[in-house]
Amino acid sequence: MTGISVRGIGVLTPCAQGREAFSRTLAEGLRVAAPGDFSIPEGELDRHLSGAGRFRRAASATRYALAAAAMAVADAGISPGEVAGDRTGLIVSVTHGALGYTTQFHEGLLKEGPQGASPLFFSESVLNAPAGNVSIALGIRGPVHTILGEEAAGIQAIELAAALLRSFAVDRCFVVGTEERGEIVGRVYGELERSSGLDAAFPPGEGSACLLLVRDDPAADGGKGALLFPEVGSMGRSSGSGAEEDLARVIGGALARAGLAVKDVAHVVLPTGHHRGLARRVLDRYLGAAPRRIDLGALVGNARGAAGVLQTAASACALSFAEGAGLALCTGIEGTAAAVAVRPAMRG
Amino acid sequence: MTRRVAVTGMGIVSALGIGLPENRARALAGQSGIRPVTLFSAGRYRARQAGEVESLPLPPWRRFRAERLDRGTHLLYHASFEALAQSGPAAGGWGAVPPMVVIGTSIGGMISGERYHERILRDGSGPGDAWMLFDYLPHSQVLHLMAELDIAGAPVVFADACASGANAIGHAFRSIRSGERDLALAGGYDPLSEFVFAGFNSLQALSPGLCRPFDRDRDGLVLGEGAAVMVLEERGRALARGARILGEIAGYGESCDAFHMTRPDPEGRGAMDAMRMALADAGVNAAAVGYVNAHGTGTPFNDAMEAKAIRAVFGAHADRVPVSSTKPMTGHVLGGAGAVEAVLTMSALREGRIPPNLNFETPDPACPVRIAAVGEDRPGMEFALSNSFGFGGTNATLILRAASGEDE
Repeated sequence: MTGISVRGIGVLTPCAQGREAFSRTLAEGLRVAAPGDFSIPEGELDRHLSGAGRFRRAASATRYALAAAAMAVADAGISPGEVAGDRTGLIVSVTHGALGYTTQFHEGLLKEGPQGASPLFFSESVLNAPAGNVSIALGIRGPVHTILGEEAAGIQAIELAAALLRSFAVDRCFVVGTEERGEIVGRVYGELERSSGLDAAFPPGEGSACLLLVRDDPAADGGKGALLFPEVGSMGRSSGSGAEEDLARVIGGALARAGLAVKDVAHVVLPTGHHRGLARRVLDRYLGAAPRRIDLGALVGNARGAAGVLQTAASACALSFAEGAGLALCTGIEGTAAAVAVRPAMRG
Repeated sequence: MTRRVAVTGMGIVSALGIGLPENRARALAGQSGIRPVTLFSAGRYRARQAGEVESLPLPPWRRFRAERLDRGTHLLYHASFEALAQSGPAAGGWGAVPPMVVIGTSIGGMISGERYHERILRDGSGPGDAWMLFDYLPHSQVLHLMAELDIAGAPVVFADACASGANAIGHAFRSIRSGERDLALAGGYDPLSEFVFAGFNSLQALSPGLCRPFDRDRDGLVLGEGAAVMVLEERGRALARGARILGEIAGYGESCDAFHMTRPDPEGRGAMDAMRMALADAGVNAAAVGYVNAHGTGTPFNDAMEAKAIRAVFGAHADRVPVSSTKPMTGHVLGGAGAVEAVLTMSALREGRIPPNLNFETPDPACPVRIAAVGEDRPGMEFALSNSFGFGGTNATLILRAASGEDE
């Protein structure tokens, strides 16, 4: 199977911004200054947002996506103009998107009637607003989609991008995961979690990650970088198997696609959402204790729709300090599971 | 050899009715389902009508308390179960590989979200209100459907605004044609919510009168609600199990304007790209297309752009090929529009009759295409094209093919 190669990485998280800072944070295991406050630091966003004025009124989820995409382009060492056109695709994953603008729009409607309902809040609250604005900023005229789901949605987005690349529908594809937090987000998920009876996820986080993906071409990049092999499934939703068995199957599927054996896995990026206890049990049983565990949620919280891309970016970054291959694992509150096997592209 | 993708089941709920027979009959007869809004008080808006689904019954959910689910979930249930009943692929269980489920929506369970948010603003909220959130997140409706149908696996949920449903069908089509999957449930849905009504009102996009796509005096869209789902299946597999083939998805094209968040590129470049890509994907010339089901929202910007793009793609054939929008009958179903219109377009192919573009009275020089103002009998059509364009500049085009005589 044709490998999908990471050409550029952009990361905007509460603990670090940009590939280098993010890699360093992962390697050193640094914690955020104020644990539990998983917000993007004031002032960081505009520093990374080219053309910030043009999108200054966009929702946070959109602005995070714009910043991450701009960082990925810079990380790839190309100019923004090179990605414009119909041979570039864009897949964005979100769970709730611009919930801040959504509630502001609705609050205006409830309190002041139709005249209090802001057209800006409405148009920027739609779920594909991050995708629409990134496509405008970068001139992307190929396939542009928004995938909805919980933590695994980012890996579904990678899977869709991989299919577009393998079918030669596009030559490069951005995958962006983005999410914003706020009072309403904490409240909504808190109530959902209490009512579901599941083990707690990390507190809501926010931010964005972007991967610029291309078909694997050693001649183009000297065989450096990371190759991705996604696998998506579900846990405990079929009558014939249990959740642990299903999750193990997803992990095995990703490793098989990558041609990796269990012993090749040097690090695992742990889920940030629910079912973390289940995931740890399966990982212990399936991979043993040897692979290094990267508990990203402790650094960035649970950024739901952004989590899958963020975790995959973390695994790709970890290749620089952890010998061998990696695995990013996502488990969603709704029972979706996804894994990406990440291995170095270096040949021979 | 290229795998072909058959449609073996269709289900639809719209303002025209509940179920395919009623929708097909009323659409081809040119009857409108637009009526005054009853789901919320629309008296304070300039526009006061929409394409509501009348008397939507609560489905007999086995796993969930029906009254706790969002209206959107019920719409999706009705369309999905109708499509599956017609196709009958699960008669002996799903087998080792469950069907792919690909659904598009733009607002999901927004009605539930509105109720929750209104409650916490008014009264505060306690854990007892959490059930209102049970079905709010816009991928929840699909998960509930899959649980009800005992379908394992992860759904793919597209939120590509008004192109969501068409992209869902297109993605399922590609996955089957490529050999990745053999069977899929694909479509889209959206309920009518005041949130969205107020949103389009704030953008001054709603018509206070009639939706009249491509008419010189068009002044906006009329919202609707509904759901439509197709069972898509590798044709050989369908034939082997004796399924009735209703038609085929023959091609799919997608593009992005990269122009503006809510306005289409007036030059229509993205729309042209999607149509050309879909035609090439199907391996047919524009001249082979017997009917164009337009996105045709009735807004000044969309219709002029779309007509220009159709003219550019179809060339001289644009003088002959009938074009109509079914939105004056159903209202704009947003995330479900592409799927609703795919089902109506397939019905047109099957019946050899084109649904009319209602309310078209005065031609607009800016819309140089042949509008089918009244229904037309067109027996023997083989291909039809359906467009869907959305916020964010997303464009999708499907090419549908009539069933051949040997399939029936």
